Amino acid sequence: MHTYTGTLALEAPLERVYRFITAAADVGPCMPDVASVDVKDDTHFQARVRVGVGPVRGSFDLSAAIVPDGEGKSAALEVRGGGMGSGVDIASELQLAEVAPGSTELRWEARVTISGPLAALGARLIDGQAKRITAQLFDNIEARIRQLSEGGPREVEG
Amino acid sequence: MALETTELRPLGKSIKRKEDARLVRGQGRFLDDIKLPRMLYLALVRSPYAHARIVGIDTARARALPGVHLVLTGEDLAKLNLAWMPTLAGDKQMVLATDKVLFQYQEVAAVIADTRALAEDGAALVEVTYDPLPVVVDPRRALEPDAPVLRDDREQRDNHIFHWEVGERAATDEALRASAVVVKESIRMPRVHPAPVEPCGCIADYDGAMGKLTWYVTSQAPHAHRTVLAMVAGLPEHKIHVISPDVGGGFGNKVPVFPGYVAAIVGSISLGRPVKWVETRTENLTSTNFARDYFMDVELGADDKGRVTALKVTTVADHGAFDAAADPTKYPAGLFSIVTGSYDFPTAFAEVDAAYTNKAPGGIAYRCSFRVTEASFLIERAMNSLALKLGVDPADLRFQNFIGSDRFPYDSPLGWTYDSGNYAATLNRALDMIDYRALRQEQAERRARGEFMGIGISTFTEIVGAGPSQSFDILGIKMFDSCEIRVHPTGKVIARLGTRHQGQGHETTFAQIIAEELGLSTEDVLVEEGDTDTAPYGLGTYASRSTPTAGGAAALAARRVRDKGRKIAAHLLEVSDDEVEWDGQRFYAAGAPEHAVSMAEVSLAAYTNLPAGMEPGLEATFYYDPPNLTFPNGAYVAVVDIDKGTGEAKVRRFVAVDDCGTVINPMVVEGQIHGGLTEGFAIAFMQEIAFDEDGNCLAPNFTEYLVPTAVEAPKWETDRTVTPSPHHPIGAKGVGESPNVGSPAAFANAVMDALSPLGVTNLDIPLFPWKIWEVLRQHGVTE
Repeated sequence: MHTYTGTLALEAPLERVYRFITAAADVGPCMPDVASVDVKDDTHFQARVRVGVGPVRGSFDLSAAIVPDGEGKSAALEVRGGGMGSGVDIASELQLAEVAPGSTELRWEARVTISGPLAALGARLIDGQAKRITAQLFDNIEARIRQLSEGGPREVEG
Repeated sequence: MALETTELRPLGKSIKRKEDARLVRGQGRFLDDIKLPRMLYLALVRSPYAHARIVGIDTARARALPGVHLVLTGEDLAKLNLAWMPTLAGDKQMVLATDKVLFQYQEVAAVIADTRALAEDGAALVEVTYDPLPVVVDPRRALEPDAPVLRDDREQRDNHIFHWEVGERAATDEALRASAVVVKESIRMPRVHPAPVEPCGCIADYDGAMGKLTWYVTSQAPHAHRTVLAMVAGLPEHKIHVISPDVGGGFGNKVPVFPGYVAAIVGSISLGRPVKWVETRTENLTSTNFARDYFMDVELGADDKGRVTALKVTTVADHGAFDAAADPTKYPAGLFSIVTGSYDFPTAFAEVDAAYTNKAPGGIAYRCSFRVTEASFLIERAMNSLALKLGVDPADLRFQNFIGSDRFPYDSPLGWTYDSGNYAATLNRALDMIDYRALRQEQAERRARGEFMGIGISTFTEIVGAGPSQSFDILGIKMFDSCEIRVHPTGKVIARLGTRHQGQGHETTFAQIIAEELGLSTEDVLVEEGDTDTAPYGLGTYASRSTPTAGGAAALAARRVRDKGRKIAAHLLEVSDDEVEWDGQRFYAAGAPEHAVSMAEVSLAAYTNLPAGMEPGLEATFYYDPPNLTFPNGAYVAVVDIDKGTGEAKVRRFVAVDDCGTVINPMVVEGQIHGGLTEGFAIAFMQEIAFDEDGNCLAPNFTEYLVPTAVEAPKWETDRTVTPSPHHPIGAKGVGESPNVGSPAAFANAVMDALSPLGVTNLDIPLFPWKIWEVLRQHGVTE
């Protein structure tokens, strides 16, 4: 299991950030290297993402569930799935704090477990790749919130 | 055309291997060379998780793929009472998982299709939903009271498999307390894999009209496989025809029955077509049987003069998810009790506790006779530590403590009766070959210059030839072996044995034994193995048992033929039976050597000119139940130089002197030793089936699990001493596994010797350069 953390400084009110990170329709498209997203309900979505670690290239089918705390301060994002005979589990905690009116700090921690041939084939690469992919998710969330704040386009980086 | 002949009296001669004529031309017939009409292919769906509940298996997309004929799950097999199968150790193992998976790469479903590619594609379409569970990869953690219980199917609510002990615990503890010196080490023998060049596989071909299954399988033990299959599948044993074609290495990996075998058989019976399953390299390394994985704590006592006083060993054994170890029933920890080695211990005690973990099942004897490598590694490493603690030369310490050549047969404190040996002579030969005293002088000079040069010694004793029927069986079947000899009218012989070679050279060496006994050349003798419809029942080839068991059977069956031949010769020579002499090549009338007949002449007479009342033909079968095991031994010396910049231990020289008793073919023995030493070198320096904390196998291919080539392997310098086994028909002991058993300790001892000026006495193998470099760095001596 690999644990990654990060902090985002978002120029958006805490309430808006909370609404974003607890909405499957908003978070789903932020998945890195996403090929397709199927939003099941407000807090559940499925996504197909492209994966490449070392010589292994393919796609993962992921199921994601968002668990809001109901108090507008934090949420959990649980992603599970796999492909190519491998599995991935991501358990994320997202903590929000208002640092100034209209500015929100998002602290995230993701515990990533990769199983199967992918973990072994890319044994020397997997940590860096998992960290990059995980960070990309939150970078995409940051970019998307910034775009929304600026009234920009709906796409985020893949 | 004249038939090719070799010289008579072939025993002990370096005759070229008969099987190589086809093998080096690429004309061997291995399993994957066999293609039957209408044959289908099987691929397995495997778990990515080391421990997980199976929530659901959706096979719809796989079944819908054109070209897919059948998808099997554990539920399908459960309806046939085949979801689980017995293991050789008396445990049971899932064939295809039903409720949960217990190790990564465990078999979950099987897909059978027109081609292998389609089967693989179909397997990729099987959707399995898992709910991961806590993973246990360390057997010591598995035995803690709060460890997750892995095997839900057992009534016993922990991960403990067995406790086994031998020797005198109290007496050993007392002797250790009274010892002037006691060394303690924790010695780890990591999980490794035999990694034969050819992985495991089978073709199941069920003939519904005849009700007969023909099963081509990469098997080291065809008859045992047939019996196990009859027991597992409920098929009549006489309607199972097992054919083990040319086998590309086994080293223990091809002894057990694997889930892929059962799935292929069920598929063939279900579909009425042949079904082939051949595992990939990754499947071989990750799911078919591993070896070793022992955690051993040793206490070795000595008096102030360096005489050993007591040995105590406490071991935790990792057996993986199912206890599928291939050990004789009476010995769940194999022959680990050979752990007192070549030394005269007054008392000793050893115990082993085995545990389940979320790792692949197994515990086979990778080129070693049932846990003998673990035992040998432990005692040879411990003797090295004792020498360091006493500040004495490790060779001198060994000479001081060897079992004397006048002590045989020797009763060890852990219950074995060693047959023969001359350990001092063997070590002396090795030391002479390597010029040991000069090397020690050179080492002193290099140390003075700050260099790290090491000399490692291993003087091991093996225990092979399982085994005597009073104490050795597999699933209740006694571990005898057999040979049937048919001499045809022109004096040519077909011999069939219950063993199955995988590169050992049986087609040559067994021919040499029989030819020697019958006065023929090896070219007159055709050796056949691996076909249960023709060969007599035997327990197979592993654990260096073929020569001690089937080799004995071959000699004794040939003597039966010769005994009948003597009667025929008397008839031809017109003398009485007791007036016939045998000179190794001919029968002759006593006192008249010129009045003689050859075995060829006798053979013709057996079909054309018999004494009155004699049954025609010239055949014999012998089932040989050895009276004792055999105890090959050897003295190995390694010299290493450690690169202070990289941490690499470069093997400068390696001398191996083996004593395997009577040598049948020196060239074949030499080849066996070269191969085993190369494997031992790999185990010492580069091989481990390692896992991360999530149970991911970190060595699932040859980029991570390294196999040395001729480029990496040191130059081997070999010689032999000969101390025949007094109870074996030709005095042979077996040799295939000795170099793998004895050499890892020599390498490790050499590295510890090199690092001893830094106070280092033990590092876990494999001794990767980074591991040695880290020690050098900690002591500030890297370049």
